[in-house]
Amino acid sequence: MFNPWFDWIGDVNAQMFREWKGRLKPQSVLIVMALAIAGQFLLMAHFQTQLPSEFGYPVYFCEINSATRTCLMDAQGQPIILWGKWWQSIFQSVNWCLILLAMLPGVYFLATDVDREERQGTLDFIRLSPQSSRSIMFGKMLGVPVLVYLAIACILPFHWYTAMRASAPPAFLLSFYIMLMAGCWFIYSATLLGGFLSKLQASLVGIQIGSSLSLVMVLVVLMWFVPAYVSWNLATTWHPYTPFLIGPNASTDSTNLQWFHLPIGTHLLLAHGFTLAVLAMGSFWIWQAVDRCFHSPGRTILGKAQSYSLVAFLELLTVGFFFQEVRYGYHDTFYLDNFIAFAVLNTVLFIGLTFLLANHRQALLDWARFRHFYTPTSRQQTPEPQLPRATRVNLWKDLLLGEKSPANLAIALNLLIFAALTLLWIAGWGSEYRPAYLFAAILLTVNMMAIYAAIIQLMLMMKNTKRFIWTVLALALVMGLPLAIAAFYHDNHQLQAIRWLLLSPAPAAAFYSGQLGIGLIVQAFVAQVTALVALNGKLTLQLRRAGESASKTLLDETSRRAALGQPAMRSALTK
Amino acid sequence: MPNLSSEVAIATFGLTKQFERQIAVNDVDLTIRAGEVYGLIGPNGAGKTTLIRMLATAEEPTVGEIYINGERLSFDQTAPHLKRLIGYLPDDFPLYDDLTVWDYLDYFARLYKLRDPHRTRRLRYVLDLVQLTHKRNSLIATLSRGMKQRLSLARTIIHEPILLLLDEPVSGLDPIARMQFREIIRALQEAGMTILISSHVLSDLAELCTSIGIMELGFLVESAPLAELYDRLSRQQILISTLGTLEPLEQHLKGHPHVCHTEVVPGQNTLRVNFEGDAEAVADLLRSLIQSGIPITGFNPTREDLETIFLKLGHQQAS
Repeated sequence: MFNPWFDWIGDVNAQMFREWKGRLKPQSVLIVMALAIAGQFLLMAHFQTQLPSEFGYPVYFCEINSATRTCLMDAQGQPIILWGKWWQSIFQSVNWCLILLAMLPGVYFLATDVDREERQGTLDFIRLSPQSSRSIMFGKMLGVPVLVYLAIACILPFHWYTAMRASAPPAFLLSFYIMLMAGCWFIYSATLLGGFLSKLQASLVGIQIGSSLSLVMVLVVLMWFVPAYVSWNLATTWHPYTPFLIGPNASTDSTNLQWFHLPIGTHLLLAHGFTLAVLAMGSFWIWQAVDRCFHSPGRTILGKAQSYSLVAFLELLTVGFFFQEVRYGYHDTFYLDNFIAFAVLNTVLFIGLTFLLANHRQALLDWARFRHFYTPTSRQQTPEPQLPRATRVNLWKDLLLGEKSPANLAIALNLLIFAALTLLWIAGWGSEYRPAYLFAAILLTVNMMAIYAAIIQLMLMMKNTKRFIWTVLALALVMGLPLAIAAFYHDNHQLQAIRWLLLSPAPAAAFYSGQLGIGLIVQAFVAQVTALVALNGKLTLQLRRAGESASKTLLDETSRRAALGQPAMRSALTK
Repeated sequence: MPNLSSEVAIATFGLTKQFERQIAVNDVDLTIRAGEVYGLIGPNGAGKTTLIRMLATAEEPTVGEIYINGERLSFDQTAPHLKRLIGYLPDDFPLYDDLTVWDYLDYFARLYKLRDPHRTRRLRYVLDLVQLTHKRNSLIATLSRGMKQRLSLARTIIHEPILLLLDEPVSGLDPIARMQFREIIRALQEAGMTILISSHVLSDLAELCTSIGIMELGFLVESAPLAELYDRLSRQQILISTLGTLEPLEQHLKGHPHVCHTEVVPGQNTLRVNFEGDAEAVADLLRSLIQSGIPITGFNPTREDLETIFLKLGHQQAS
């Protein structure tokens, strides 16, 4: 196994070399190859049993006699078998096997490996080496699932053979491999990010998730990513080839899916380019996050400066899908429907973004306490010290770009990006829908998102170790309660229902009602601004308290206790 | 860029680390010169491990600056060339149990971009240094704790760092393993490495270190060469035994200019003398005692050890 070529791999990527060396043991290699080959035999054996016997059953793969519901027989008394359909079904099964094999065990192995290294502390030594996070991540991605790759390599000749017998065009095979690799690249990257964050996850929820993280990741991939990714490809890149994935009777019609009027549902090259570009961008952002988390596990997953370009990208990506041709003709609420869908999507996006961007208690305490510190200038103990004089960091700049500052202002700037792009989008509608109402809808939506962000940032300042769970619960309450009350009033008190709807995650939904007047909108706006001021005021107060020095806290505590006639406490220092 | 002398291996300015509102390391200004073996002592929770982790880039300071070989350590960038200068051995030492000793070191040598044939030579050298050559093909899982500790040290020095940060390297080791470890540290010091070592075993540090830093409640309350510490804080005592009664001896010592205090060691014909004077003064005293005809049977000059100094400073050292 150990030859100059293998040694060269080790020089190029030490991590991949270590993973291969640990996994490519002769016994493991033989077992995987045997399993892959046995699996192919089992599949063939299964499909062999599906062929009709001399009695004309079963009828899956033969010409059917509609009268007897059995197979039609030829002159020799043998059933007329539809070999093309049979091979197509085998090919279809192999396709699904490859998709699931590439994604599920790969994700499981990667999540388990990184989580274990993170918990054992071995990853810290890799962090201390001069290797870049990209090199380590690349090595993990190519190295940890190496036995999965080996199994796939064993299946590929069978896949090509079945493709040929099923008359699958080479273009589909090429597209299938490219999209499968791109999908795996994306989901493996996301898995590594999840693994690198396992310590953070444990600190967020207050419990060690441990090995169950891998199972959660596999479930997410199985229940969400694989169906979503395959569905997307069936609607775009693979739409002429749907029979090879969901059966011979599947429709090969193209969809009318457009992005900024680009026909990605019909034009195959555009569909491939678009999907690959989106996955590349998604992977790029994930790698950016991994780069941060790998070297500084205590940092937020995303930097504030990065968030602005990410939001601009995501807004362009999502708004592009709302530039669709009106298929079923214009109707009264067409624009409002679109806006609400877009706003709800963005609310979810912004809540996620706030969690990625919001600093937790420790970072906020550090920021509050040490933000004003100058870099020391001269120390007598050091030999010939001539340290440069640091400049005081501008507060606004710190809030918009700083690593440890609260995320509220950065979220506000991101919301401005959202509002600006939405306004541009809406401006394209002309005066077909009441523009003033839509402007009010944007304003109320943006305010609600800012309120959610302020709640998240405030709750993440909690001392409780399970602060993440409490934040999610508080957010669910703030989002769900207005909707529940609006539903309660819906039948009898329309105005009350509208009032509460305006404070829900989808304030624009209230605009469906004919009873909505300017007065109600102003009331909702005032209520939102009051909530925002109160939440940000509370956060400012907490940060100001956290920024006080320990000695000031002690002195305050001592004078308070002196006023109450109690003895001073040393523990005041540690509060 | 500060104009730090190239002889300074480590310099920190206002180094502070806060956990919650507890300040683990508080405004520490530390300077360690190249080639020194610097011992860091202090009670549990004094901030030694946090300080070492920050120097090793394993922990980001809340505020403050670190300079390694005169170059500022940046936590925003990975600073690969500075990482190559540092070797860090934490108090726990997780290893890959599925790898052999050789494969483990080979992996880290590759992570630090060592190329063959230098890599193989280096692997052989460090295995020889930590006395694990005979275990090179053994699985790590089969090694004893002492061997694992030495393997971790081998991993720490595989890339020829010039600065070695050792956090409690001998904790949990038996006396023989500790002695082996001390010998390795001495060999590394002779090879020119700067070593920062934290330990509760002060006798080991007294043997190894050229300078000592004492931490308490996150502050670096003392940092000085070991000789200076002894001069400043360690009293010299001489145990003098005689065949006869102690009175003539006491009479003789009474007027001696370097004798501060005498006390009788109970149950023995011995006086404990607190003596302020250099080696020449000690020799003069012995000469004068013999010339005065007092039947001296024992004359044993001693100094208070590091642990006594530490306790005298008001600290409580768990050992």
